[in-house]
Amino acid sequence: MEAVVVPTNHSRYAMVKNALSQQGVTVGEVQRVRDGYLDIQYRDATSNVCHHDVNVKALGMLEKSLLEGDNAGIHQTIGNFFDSLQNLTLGAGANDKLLLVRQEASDMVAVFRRDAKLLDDMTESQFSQMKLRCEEVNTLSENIAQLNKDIKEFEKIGMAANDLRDKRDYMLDQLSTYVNIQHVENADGTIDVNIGSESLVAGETNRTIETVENADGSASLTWQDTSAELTDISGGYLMGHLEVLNGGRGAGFQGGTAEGIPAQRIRLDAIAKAVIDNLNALNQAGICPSTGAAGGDLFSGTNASDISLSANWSNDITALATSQGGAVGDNLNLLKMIEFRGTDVNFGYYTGTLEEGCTDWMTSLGSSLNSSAQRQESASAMQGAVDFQRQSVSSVSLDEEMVNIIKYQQAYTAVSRVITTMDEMLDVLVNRTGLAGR
Amino acid sequence: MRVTRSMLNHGLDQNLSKAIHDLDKIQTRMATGRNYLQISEAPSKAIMAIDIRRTMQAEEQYKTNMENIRTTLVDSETALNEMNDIIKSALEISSSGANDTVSAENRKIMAEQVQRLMDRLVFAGNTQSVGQYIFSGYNVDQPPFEVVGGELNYNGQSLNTGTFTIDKQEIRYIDIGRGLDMTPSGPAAGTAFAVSIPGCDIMGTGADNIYNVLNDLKTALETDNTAGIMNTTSRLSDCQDRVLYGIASFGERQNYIDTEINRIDTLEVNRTDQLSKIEDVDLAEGTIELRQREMAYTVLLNLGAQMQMPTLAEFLR
Repeated sequence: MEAVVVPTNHSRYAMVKNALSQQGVTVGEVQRVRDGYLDIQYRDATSNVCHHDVNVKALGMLEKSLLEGDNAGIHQTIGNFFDSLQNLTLGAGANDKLLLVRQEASDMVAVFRRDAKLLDDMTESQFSQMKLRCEEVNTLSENIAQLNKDIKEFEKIGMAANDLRDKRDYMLDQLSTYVNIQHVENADGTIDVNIGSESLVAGETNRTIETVENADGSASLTWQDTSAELTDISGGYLMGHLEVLNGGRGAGFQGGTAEGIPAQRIRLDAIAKAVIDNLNALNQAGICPSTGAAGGDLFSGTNASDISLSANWSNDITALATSQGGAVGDNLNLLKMIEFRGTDVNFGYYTGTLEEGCTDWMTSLGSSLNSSAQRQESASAMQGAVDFQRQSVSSVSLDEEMVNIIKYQQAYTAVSRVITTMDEMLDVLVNRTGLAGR
Repeated sequence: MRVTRSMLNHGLDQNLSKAIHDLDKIQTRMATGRNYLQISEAPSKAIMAIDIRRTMQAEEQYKTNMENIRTTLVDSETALNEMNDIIKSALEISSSGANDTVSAENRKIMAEQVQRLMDRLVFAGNTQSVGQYIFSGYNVDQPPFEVVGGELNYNGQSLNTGTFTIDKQEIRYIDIGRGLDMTPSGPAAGTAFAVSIPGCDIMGTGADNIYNVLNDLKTALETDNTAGIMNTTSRLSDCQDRVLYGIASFGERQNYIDTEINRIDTLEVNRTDQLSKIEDVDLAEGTIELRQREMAYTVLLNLGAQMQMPTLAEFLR
């Protein structure tokens, strides 16, 4: 579902003081029929829709690429790795089985890295979209400031600049897709546009906003003139991007782990780290039957972005310490690794087995997408309802106009009747009076 | 409330879009046969399905493990049966050879028969299953039994004189899904399944190991020593008891594994059923819904066409 701003850039006009008299027709003023309160409601609803829209799109993409239904996700590769260990217990020391274990491990590493890369790409694309949208906001606010100026000039001569005002209202509607706005009209016909308590457009001047990529990878939205962060942003596309990039709601947007990209990254990294730390420790506790020495690291790295097979293991499939005593058939250390599959790990935000960690990740992503989609749907319904009411006030009804036309036509006919009557009266007066002497 | 033409059109547009969206949803469900495609569409159901699938995957692996164990057990049993046959033959030889009527020459021939039995015994002890020596404990890649200086060596030590402590590493354990609990002294009882028994347990240690008894029988036959021959009979019976006990224990474990495999097969059916209830579309229900959605869409289209009625302007013409 798309969030769409219906281009209602022309509204119904009503003629005021359409006085009819013997002198003919005077159109005193043409006024736009518009309910300002409905406009405000409509814009709030639009901000809301667009805000959730960004979330739904971003999370939806993450879900499609990270979870991939039943196969090839992290969850599946971890399972495959442990299954290959099980297979190895059946024929300890067999080279083909040792090779299979390493193959599964390297598949797992590849999926970790692919997912980490996906998150990086996602972050980048969010940033570029956000920057683009910042530019669009700046263009709109500049245009509004310009229109303010034009309207002020135009209305100096006492006429309502209806077309320009329609245009400005349309721009406000558009602006509301990017960010939550309020506006107040000044006596001279200009408007001030605010984002919360901060001014975006004041009469004929406007301020510029920009997207800042912080060192820690989070995003900030700042005023170009003061370099201070926008304090009151709460809706629109830009809010959506901030949430997706910074992973939190509410003030500051920092340190959120519940939502957006950071939530996924934290989970992915925690699972990768659990794999690296625990399997390395287990391997070090065992003895490689091939060398009779204690095992070394199986993996290197600390998170999903830099995880890889250790140089040791990449060069030599027998670097896997399968035994406790060093004999080929002794698979006690393998069993310990398999035992780890069912052992709880503390991920920091969650305690459970590796695979439960994956499930937790899927649940959190799935349900946060689900709730975002629901929020978007209800915001969208709200927007539709307000728009309906707005159209009820502003849009043109042909029936009504027809009735008006007939009314005016009849009035016109009636007036012409008056003229004919007067004409006849004059005729009587001029031509038929005073004929006695003739 | 004023209702204008553009509102009607807008409303129709929205309703059409909603109807086609619903139609698309049910169509996708019918086409894929799945209730949901993405986790977010039904998080709680999806997680249940993932859990079931994970359990099924694990059970599949346990089944593979157990089928492998089964092969090893069957092979072990075959080897033990062979040993039993050897001992039986040896018993016959010792009872008939102990008869005083048997001549020294015949006894020599019998001694040769015993020698062949001894060869067969070593061969049976070195049975392989799936490329691994069954009775060698942890040294699965090396034959456990070897005759050195007339004595049988197990993993490099003479059975006659060596001391054997069975430590945890000498038994091969495999995970069959009873949960793993690894203690410093090996897997806790009732968790991992012990597949192999060390060959020294079957063969026996000290002077009464099967090979040595057979060797004594052979020597007695060669030396025409009736008392010596008679002496081996009871020792051979003890050996036979040990082997029979081994066969019984392997058979019992094989039974256990068979039951477990059956159990997992039954569970698999249940789980597939459960999974299908969660994930699969009820075709009858789905078809009805599809028809309803199609109808809703058609009705809306119809309605839209009728809604394009003349305005007052056209009416007055």
